[in-house]
This record gives sequence, structure tokens and C-alpha cells, in this order.
Amino acid sequence: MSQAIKLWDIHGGIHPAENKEQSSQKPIRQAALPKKLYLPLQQHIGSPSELSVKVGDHVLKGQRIAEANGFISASLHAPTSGTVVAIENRAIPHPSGLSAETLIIETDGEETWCEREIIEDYRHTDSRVLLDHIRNHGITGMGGAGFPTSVKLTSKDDDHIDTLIINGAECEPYITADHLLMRERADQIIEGIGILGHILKPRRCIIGVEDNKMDAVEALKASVASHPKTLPFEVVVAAIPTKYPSGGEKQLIQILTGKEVPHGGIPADLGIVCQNVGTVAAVAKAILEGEPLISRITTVTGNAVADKGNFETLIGTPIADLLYQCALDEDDLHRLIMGGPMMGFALQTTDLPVIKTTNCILAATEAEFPNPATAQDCIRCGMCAEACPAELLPQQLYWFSRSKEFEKAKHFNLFDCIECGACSFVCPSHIPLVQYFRFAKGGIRAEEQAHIKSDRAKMRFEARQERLAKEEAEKEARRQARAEAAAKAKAEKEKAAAQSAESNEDSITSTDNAEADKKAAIAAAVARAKTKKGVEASAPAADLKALKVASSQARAAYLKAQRTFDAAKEAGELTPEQMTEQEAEVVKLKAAYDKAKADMDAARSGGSGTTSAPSAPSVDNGSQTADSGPDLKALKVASSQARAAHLKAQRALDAAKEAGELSAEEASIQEAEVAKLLATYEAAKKALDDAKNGVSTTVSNTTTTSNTTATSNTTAAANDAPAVDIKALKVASSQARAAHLKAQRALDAAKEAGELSAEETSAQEADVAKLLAAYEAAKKALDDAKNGVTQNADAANTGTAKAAEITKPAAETPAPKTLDQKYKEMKVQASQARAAAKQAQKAVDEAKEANESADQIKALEDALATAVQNYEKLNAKKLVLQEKVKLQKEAPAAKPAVSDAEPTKQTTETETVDPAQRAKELKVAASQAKAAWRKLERELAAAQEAGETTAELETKVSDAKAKYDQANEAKTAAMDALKG
Amino acid sequence: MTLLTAILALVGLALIFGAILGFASIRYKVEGNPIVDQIDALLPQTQCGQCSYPGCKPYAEAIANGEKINKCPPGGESTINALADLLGVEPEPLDAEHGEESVTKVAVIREDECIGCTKCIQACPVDAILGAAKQMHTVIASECTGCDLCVEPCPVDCIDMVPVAPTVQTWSWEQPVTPAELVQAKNDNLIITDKGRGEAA
Repeated sequence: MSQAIKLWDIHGGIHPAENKEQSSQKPIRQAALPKKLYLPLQQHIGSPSELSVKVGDHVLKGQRIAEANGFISASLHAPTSGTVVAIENRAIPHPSGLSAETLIIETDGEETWCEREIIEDYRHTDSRVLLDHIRNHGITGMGGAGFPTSVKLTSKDDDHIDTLIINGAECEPYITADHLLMRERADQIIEGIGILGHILKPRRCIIGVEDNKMDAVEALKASVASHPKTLPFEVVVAAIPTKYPSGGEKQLIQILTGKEVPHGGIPADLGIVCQNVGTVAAVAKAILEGEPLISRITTVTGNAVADKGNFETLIGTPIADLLYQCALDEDDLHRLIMGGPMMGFALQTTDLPVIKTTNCILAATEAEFPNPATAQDCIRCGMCAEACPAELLPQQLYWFSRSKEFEKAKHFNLFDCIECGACSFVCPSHIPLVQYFRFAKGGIRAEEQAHIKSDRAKMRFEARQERLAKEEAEKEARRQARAEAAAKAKAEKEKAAAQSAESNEDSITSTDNAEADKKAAIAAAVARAKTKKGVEASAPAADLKALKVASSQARAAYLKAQRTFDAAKEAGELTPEQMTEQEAEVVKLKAAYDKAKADMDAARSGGSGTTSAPSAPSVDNGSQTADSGPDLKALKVASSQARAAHLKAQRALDAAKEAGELSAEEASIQEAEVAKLLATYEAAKKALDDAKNGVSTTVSNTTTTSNTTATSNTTAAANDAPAVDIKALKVASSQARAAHLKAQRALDAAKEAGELSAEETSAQEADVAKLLAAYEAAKKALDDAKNGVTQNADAANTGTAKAAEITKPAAETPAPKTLDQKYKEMKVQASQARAAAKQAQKAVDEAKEANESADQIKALEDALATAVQNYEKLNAKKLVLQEKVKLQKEAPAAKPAVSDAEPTKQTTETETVDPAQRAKELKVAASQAKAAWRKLERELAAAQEAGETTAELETKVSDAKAKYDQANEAKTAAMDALKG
Repeated sequence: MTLLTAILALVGLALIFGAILGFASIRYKVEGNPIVDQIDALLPQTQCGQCSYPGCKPYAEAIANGEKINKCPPGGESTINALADLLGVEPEPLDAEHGEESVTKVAVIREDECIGCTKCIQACPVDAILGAAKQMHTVIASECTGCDLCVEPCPVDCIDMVPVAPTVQTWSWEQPVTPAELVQAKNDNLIITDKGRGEAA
């Protein structure tokens, strides 16, 4: 049957003391059932299994409790019946001593099996079905690494398996688990070989067993002889010379076939598959008995245990339980090792479970396993290279690993190292070579991972840059479109103004209406009206003209608003709120225009029949408008020039700043210039506004004396002019704000760069404050103007109820807005103040670090205190305003009268309205308070470390804490209310 | 005559090779500086700006133009060594002015404290923070480079930089300690204790 086959030798290798007889004397015994089983979700190479049970579930023996997750993964089964009591992170048997997710089963002692799936006649079953069966039964390599067996057996189509090698070498000292298995369960192994043979269809099978286990060899030979039907291919049991590490996969293949697994390749590349005897037996159990991998044979040995031997142990059994059964002498236990003395790893505690790869528990005494000797310098004896079974140059690899020259280590085939420890074993200098190699391997893998990650980060970074550039370009395009639209609108407005001026002139210079008829359609209509109908009142023609002007102005305003609105809409820039706001404005303007037109028509029809020439007032009126026209224009030009100059300067400054050309001093000088220009611009603007107001007042002066229809003109004009004003002021205000913010940023940047001395910083801070003041002034002007609009409109509208109706919505809307804006403004100010306080803090810290004089620090600290105070004041104001705004928002908009009449009712309403919003706000407030508190605490800690006086800070901290508690309480109350 | 032939032959050769070289310089012209990309590939791509350049690429460009190679704390010693190898210069110790090499960290937002201000989202150079205005934000840990840039802008101080704990998958062996420390290490995992009971084959 089994004839002798030719054997080859491997390079190197060592002969450590075997120490196997201690544990191989007694037969395999069943380990006692523990109270609890601990099952880590990852006991194999690959991804962790996915849980399929939950805490509290009752599980049966053999029931799957976690499923394979991905191709390289394995399932996990309940080793016995019981209840899942916990799924938690626990220490796992791993060289790192790390924790991993572990499932804990409390055993019930009944060992109730779940329904088993048995494939009796595997010879007529498709190999894919068998592979699935093996995979579902959680079989992994039992030799040491725990590679999922089904993956190893799944061969690619192109590599046909010629030889199946069964690894029974068990070369590592102390371990006898495979030895006992071969001796006692040879039939099971042979059945397993039959199954693997059916899956792989090899030409032959070689079972390699070291010649120190001749009883096992005999048992296997006998079993092979008694199973002729199971084995339709040649099966050879080969006794190989005892030498460590002949049990390594690559080494055994070389010994039995003379072939070497190529660098980076797997045995399948040579048409070889190698399986451990334990794995083969587990496959046989899974297929023929339907028993998943729930137990294994574990050797318990070492001089610290009295009763050494092999145990059929359930996976998950605590090592402590196992050792207790073997009568462990805890005082003698010096080192606890999982695996063998050459390739195993030390365990820190006995509170760890047996897992699928636990072939040996070695409880050694100090005499047996003394501490390693001190490593000395390498003497370049070359014994490591002689011992290396992989024919590497351990000495060379040691130098590279030690100096972290991973690239070179890789070049010297570090990854062909099987970490057998032969080199360390023979090293006369006791250098822990294998540990260096493991470190280098880990370092290389980590570098590879880091490289993959950095590539991804780069990709994401570049994608982001691209996106930002695109957004910027789109914004620029929108800005351009807006500018164009504005220019167009301006041109049209000018045209309209010119037209109206023309028609005015016409009416002044001559009464010859026929000429004017030809020139413009409106003029024609007027002429027709004049010729056909008479003028009713004292100066009907003048009225008409005034109305016409008003109407065309209103129309221009309306069209412009409409255009801007459309452009904005197209560009999709607006938020829905803004959109509705703008729409409302447009509608308003339209209404004004319609009104003006209607009035004009009414006047026209009223003037039918009269053919009198325009009277003196009308001439006055016309000339006044005409006079103020050029003035306005000139002012406008001046204003826009000033603005352009300012913008240019601003741009130049920005560019310079970006280019980083300017020193901080230069920057501040330039900023001052920009501010000056801004001021000029604002002055110009103001002049323009004044002029505009003058126009509108003139118009209203001239018209108030005339009849009711004229009032609408005033209204329209008044509406128009302030609207422009407000816009201009808004622009000015936002510019001021932008300037302020920019200055702030520049200051921050400079500070961070650490360029500025404390004095310079404070000077710049003063600048920033100035800008802030400018901004606030602008803001105020804007608000005033807004209020002015309302007042103006009111003044203009006192005459007629009709006109009042038009302006009323306009007057109503700004009022709540102002409050809202005030709140926002206050918020901005508060945050700015906070930023200022932060900066002051930073400055103080920096000064302290820089060891500046005590006076300076004191001054800075004072500044900080004022900044903080300032901020707190502002914050308080802000909160008040916030309340107010909320009140206003919550008050029904349709009933403004109610708010005055019934303030009490409103407050009650506030409490009930929108608790979710309130809760959110309170949450924000609470977390801000918390942040403040934390910050202070940190400061305190820092101060304490620095050994400074902390009494003041301590009070501050407690204040902040109190504040936070208060805020938190409010928040919780609000949340509870919300939930309730 | 011989002299003239020799001169003519040499001139002819010079012209031919000149033409070939001229053609090659146009045909195989390299766009940009390839060394910049090579340097960039070695940098850790955290885009953290600790080198005082606004990202890894600008620093790579600066290195190509003669900037020092020791200004990248996230890359640390290994990056400096790799750069020194690439550029053929001597490796230098990390410039402490730009920070120190530290363990890999990842930003974590304390989510119940986040007020949804989006400031950290704008600060993240690799778009690893997810969220919207007034909504809670969170960090995609697998994409976070640990650059620290989101911590400063947070108004409620709710971002922590947490060191990445090694898992069973990412854990690797440490470098063996010096001989003196080795004696101390009781729990050392080396098991070469059968010394003296066997010999090399």
C-alpha cells in the first residue's frame, strides 16, 4: 500500500528538545463543560463574523451564532446549548492583548443538539455543495493561523491540484494534539482525506508525519489499508526526519515534493494543497456527522500543571478552567503560552478562552522557561543564516529592521520569513531577531496602509479644491450677470428720465402739441388728451405732466426691481425668504406704478374739453425737476467715482495681502487709506441722498398744493427715493462690515503668524474697533433711513387714505424687520466681542509665554477683562433682543394691534408657542455656556500648573459653571416639556 | 585631405546628433516638474498646513525649489527619510518649530453639543465632515486625516482629536527594546528559552 517515497531536505532547521512525551502518554480526554463559554467573533484570518443572535437568545449546540462576513471569513457556532448572556468587548488570546467583541454563552449542561445537516454520500455530491457545507460549519485551519478552509480548497479553474499534502509533522516542541489525533482517530482523518480528495481530485496524497511519532504513522497506515473505497487515489504515509520547522507548510512541501513555493505565491501555484490533520478531521466531522467546528484537541502541558495531557475542549472554554482540571500550581506558573515555545505567544492572564487555533496551552515554570538572556551585539557569526529554513539572511534583515530601512528589508525578502524563530534560537548573542522581523513587517504593512489612505486623502482634497474653484467661478459669473443687468437697468432709467425731461421741455417751450405727438407715444396720448378734452382743475396740463413723470418713474422702478429679481432668481442665489421679500417689493412697486398710471388716466379724462395752456405752477414744477435732475446726476457720478476708487483700493489691498507682499505696517496704512476712501464714498453718497431727498421734497412741495391725485406722485417719488437710499446705505453698511471683518481676519492672521509685537497688535485691534464703529454707524444710518422711509411715507400719506393704503404695507414690513436686524446685528456684535475677548486672551497667553514684563501682561489682562465685560454686556443685550424678536415672531402678524393692546396675553402665548425651537435655542445656549465653562477650567488648570494665583479664576469658573448649570437645567426642562 | 574628411565627418556627425537631440527635446518634452509629483506622493496628504504651506502639494513644490525636507510632522521620520532618499540629501531631524510627530488621530464631534454651525465642514480639507446648517455634524472617521484644522473654528469646542486605537487588524509588533529594557520586560513575548538543549542542524 504505502510505499516509501523520495524525500528532500530543507535548508537549515534546528533540533530543540522535543518535550512531547509529557503530554502524549494519556489518551485524549473530554474537558469538563464550563459554566460560561467566551466566543470572540474573530478566531480566524479575515473579517470578523457577523452576529446572528442577540443577548437573551437560547441557543442549541451546533447552532450558528455568527455568520461568515465576506469571502475570507468563517462562521461561528454554539459549542453547547445555553443562553447568550452578553456580547461585549473582552480580552482575546492575541499577542497584542487587545479586546474584541466576544459573545458569552451560559451553558445549561443539557448539550441539546440543533438539527444537524449530514452529507452521507459525499462522493455523489457536487464539490461546491461540499465547500458551502464546510464554510457554513466554520472550519478553519487548525494548525495555527486559522485560515478559512473552504477558501483554501476553492481552487481557481486553471490550477489543477496534483498533490494533496496532509500535515501531521507537528514539529513544534511540547505539542502533541495532532499526534494524539492521528493515533486515536486515524479513520476520521482518512475519511476527511476522502472528502478533500473528492473536492480537489488530486493524483496523489501524501501524509507527512515526523519520525518521532511512529505509532501515529502505523495507525494511519493501517487506516489507509482498511479504507480502499474511500481513497480512489494513491495515499502515501511518509515518515520524515524530525527537524524544526519541517511542519511549516512551505517546508513540508519542499521535503515531500522537492518543490519550493515561489516568493509571493501559494502552494496551489504548484498544484499542491496542504491541510493540517486536525482540519481534515474537522472536515470529516462536519460532512459525515454534521458537527461544526465547536471543539478541538488542545494539549495542556508545562511543568506548572501536574496532569498533562490532551483534551477535547469546547471552543470558548476559559483557559483557567482547563488549567484547573489539569491541577495547575499557580505559584509555579512563570509564563503562560498559547501555541508552542517557538511560535506561540505569551498570555497575560488565564482569563482568556480557547479558540479555534489553540493547539496548546503551555504553563511553564521559571526553571523551564527562564527570562530571555540580555541581547548582545551581533558578532556576525552567520549562524542565523545557516539555521534559516527560508534561506534568508537574518543578520542583514536585522540591521535593516533595526534602522527602520523597510524598503531594503523588503528587498531582502523579509516577507518570505515564516517567523519560525530558528534564527533567534541559534543566535549566540540572544538577539530577538524574530521580533525585529515582526516589527519590520508590521511597519511595512502600516506604511502601505498609510499610503493608500494618503492617496485617498489627496484625491478628496483635489476634488474639493476643484469644487471650490467651480463654485467661485459660478459666483463670479453671477456677479457679472448682476452687474450687467444693473448697468442695463441704469441705462434704461436714464433713457426714461431723458424722455420725461424732453416731454417736460416740450410742454414748457410750446403749446404746439402736434410736434410732441410725433416724438413719443406718451406725449401723443397727452396731446390727444389735451386736444380732445379740457382740463378740469386750475392747472390740468401741469398735473398731467407731473403725473406722467411720477408714473414713468414708478414704472422704471418697478421694471428695475422686476429685472433684478428675475436675474437673481435665475442665478438661483436667493433663499426662499429673500425671494418672497423681493417679490413683495416688486409687487408693491407695480402697485405704485399702476396707481400712478390710473391717476394719470383719471386726470386725463378729468381734463377733457379744456384746451388752456399750462399754468405757471406747472412750469415751476417742471423746471424744478429739470434743474435738480443734472445736480443729481453729477452727485451720482461723484458718488460712483468715490465708490469705484474705494473698491479699487480695496482690491489692491486684498491682492497685496494675498501676495503676502505687505508688512503688517504697510497693510495697516493701506487699510487706513481704504477706510478714508470709504468715508469719501459715503460722504458722496450722503450728498447724493440729500439731493435726492431734496428732489422728493420739492416734488412734494409743489404737489401738495395741488389736488389729491398728485399725492400719489409724492408717494411714489418718496417711495422710490428712500428705497434707493436704503439700498445704498445697505451697500455701505455691508462694505463697512466687510472691511471690518477683513481687518479682523488680517489681524488674526498676523497674530497667528506671530509677526506683531503686543503694541502693534493693540494698535491693529484699535483699527479693527474703529472699523467696527464705522460699520455700526453705517448700520445705524441704514436703520434710520429705513425708519425714515416709514416716516416719509407716513408724512406723505396723511393727506389721502388711498395713498396710505399703498404705503401701509411698506411701512409695516420694515418695523419688525428692524428689530430682527437689530437682534442679528447685536448677535454679530456679541460674537465679535467674544472674538475680541478670545484674541485678548490669546495675546495675554502669548505675552505670558514670551515672558514679557508684568506691566504689559497686566495691561493686556485689563484689556481682556474689558473685552470680556463688553462681550457679556452685548450678550445680555443680544439675549434681550432675542426674546423680543421671538415675541414679535410669535405674535400673529395679521393682528399688530393686539400686540399693543394685550401684551400680557402675548407673553403667555410665547411660552406655549414652538417649544421645539425654544428647546433648540436653549440647547445651543447650554452648550455655549458649557464651552465657556470648560475654557475657563482649562485656563484655571494652566494657571495652577504655572503656579499663579488662581482665586479670581476660580470664582470665574464657578460662575461659569453656575451659568452652565442654569442653562442646562433650562434646556433639560425644555426638552422634557418637549417630550412630554 | 584626410584632415578635411575627418573634420567634415565630425561636423556631419555633430549635425546629425544635434538634430536628433533637438527633435527629442521637443517630442519628449516633459510638462511640469516631475519631481514635484514624486515628492507629493511621499507626503502624508493630511493637508494640515503645519509646514506653513497651504497643503501638501505647495510644500512639495517648495521642496523642489530647495525648501527643507523636515517640516512635515504628520509624516515624521519615515517621510523625511523617504524624501532624503528621493532627493539624494542627508536626512535631518524633524523641525520642532512645525510641531512634533504624534500618534495618528481622528477628529470626533461630541454630537449632542454640536449646534450645526458648519464651520468645521468649511475647514475640513478632505470633506470628511458630514452635516448641514442647524443639523448635527459628524466626522467620517475613515476619511479623516487628523489634520486638526476643524478644532479651532468650532464655536462650542465640541471636537476632540482622539488617538486611533489599534484594533486586532491594525495592531503590529513593536520594535524590540534595548537590552537593558529587555531584562525588565517580564511579559516579553519571546520564547527562545530552550537554549542549550538543542543545536543547529
